[in-house]
Amino acid sequence: MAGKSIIDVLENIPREIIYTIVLIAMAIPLIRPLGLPVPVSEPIRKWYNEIESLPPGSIVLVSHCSLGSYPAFDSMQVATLHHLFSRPVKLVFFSIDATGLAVYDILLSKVDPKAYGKVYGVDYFHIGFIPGGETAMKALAEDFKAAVPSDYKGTPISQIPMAANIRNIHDFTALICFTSAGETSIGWIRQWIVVRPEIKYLCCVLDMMLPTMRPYYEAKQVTVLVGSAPGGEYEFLLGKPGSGIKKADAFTGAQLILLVFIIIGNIAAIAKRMGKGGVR
Amino acid sequence: MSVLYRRHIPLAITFICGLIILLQFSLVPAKITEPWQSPFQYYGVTLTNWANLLANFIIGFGVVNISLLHARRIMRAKSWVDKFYSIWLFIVMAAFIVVGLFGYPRMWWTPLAANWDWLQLYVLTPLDATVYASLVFYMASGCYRAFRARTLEGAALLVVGFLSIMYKTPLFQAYAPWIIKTIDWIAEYPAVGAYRGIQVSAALGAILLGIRTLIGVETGYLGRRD
Repeated sequence: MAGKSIIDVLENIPREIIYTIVLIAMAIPLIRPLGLPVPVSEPIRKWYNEIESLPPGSIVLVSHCSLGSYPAFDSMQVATLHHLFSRPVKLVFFSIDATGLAVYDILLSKVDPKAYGKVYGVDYFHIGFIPGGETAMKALAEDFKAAVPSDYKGTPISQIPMAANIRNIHDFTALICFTSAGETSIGWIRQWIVVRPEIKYLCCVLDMMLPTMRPYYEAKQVTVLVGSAPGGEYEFLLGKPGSGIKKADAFTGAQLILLVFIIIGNIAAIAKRMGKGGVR
Repeated sequence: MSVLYRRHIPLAITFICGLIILLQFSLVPAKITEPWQSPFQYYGVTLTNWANLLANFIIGFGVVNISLLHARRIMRAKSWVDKFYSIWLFIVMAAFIVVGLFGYPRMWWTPLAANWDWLQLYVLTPLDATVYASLVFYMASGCYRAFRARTLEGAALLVVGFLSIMYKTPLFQAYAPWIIKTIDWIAEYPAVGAYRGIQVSAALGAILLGIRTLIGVETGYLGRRD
């Protein structure tokens, strides 16, 4: 950086320094939580209320995320499963991604269905990964048993008691989707919600995908739309603190640092322009 | 190969399949419950399940394709450094295929079931999560460089971007609730308006592409120019 003024340096801080400071800002709250307030936002409250209002015996399709995006959805998925297992509803798990089965194993290692008195095959089961993306969604909607001859462990669908009542989309009350892929969150609308608008569609996407999904929410095709970040809020609402509350502090730390960097960058840029003879 | 096999038969198959799915969507009542209540429903459901089966073959095709690509790379590479990543890919792929096959619950013999769980939990999960989580650093650096008030548009991006970051920061959600109302308004009106325009245009484009594909004008998916 020899020969560079302080303004030049601040206008173009090396990325290694940014990475290091962001890492420290995230790591400190994770190691030693700061105990900052966790306000419960309106979408999370709505998400909670929709699950709470599911009629007893409802069949809910839970399309969980892929392995790569699991860290982003971890707290939201775990909290949602705690809530769902505590309700008298039946769950069908589905993976739209080949790596999703590992996510299911991780989720069930964190949320024990037996603790809620739920039995595999009677109260919940996993249909595994079906390749094809939207065609898989369409197949599930039209003829469930033809699309799913067996569960993910290879047990024939005819031997799963809960599956006897599932013929097609008309037997489902709600669809809960966790995804980092736009074609998945919108695909469910195209293949399920358009066919049966009565289904409650609870959609949890990455926060950066929220603007893309918002038009569908405004059109009432998505019942509840939340980002993946506020898992801590849901844990707080359920009274089951987990990794999400810790992450909320880490988000605050990293994002505050980012805001500081943006301010520094702009001040330096403006100072440089003024030094060169005024704002262009 | 004659034009009949290369062009006319694939186009005819595309036309018939596309038409069945279109008619199924348009003519079959939404309340229909069983596939045999309508022939369009029956054939539409059958075609959809075929598509899912084909998707399985595509995964196998991907394995063959990537193997050929890296085999060629190993043969042509001049140094061991160039060959290393391709060889490593084959080693990892072989390990996952062997452990995956003999650890899969549906196989008749699963001596590697525990290894499969181990590979998933302690190799695949951390690697996948690391790649994904490392984005945070690129995003932080990207925001710092992109959010500059150099022009009027840049200033608008800076203001909205800055407020959006504040909106997603739990601390500001607790102590500056006005940010939530501001960003909600931006998301509800200007952003939705803009996205609707983009999405409707994209949908119209998709309809046109669909019509061109059905009538055989669009032949890019055949993989060659005639």
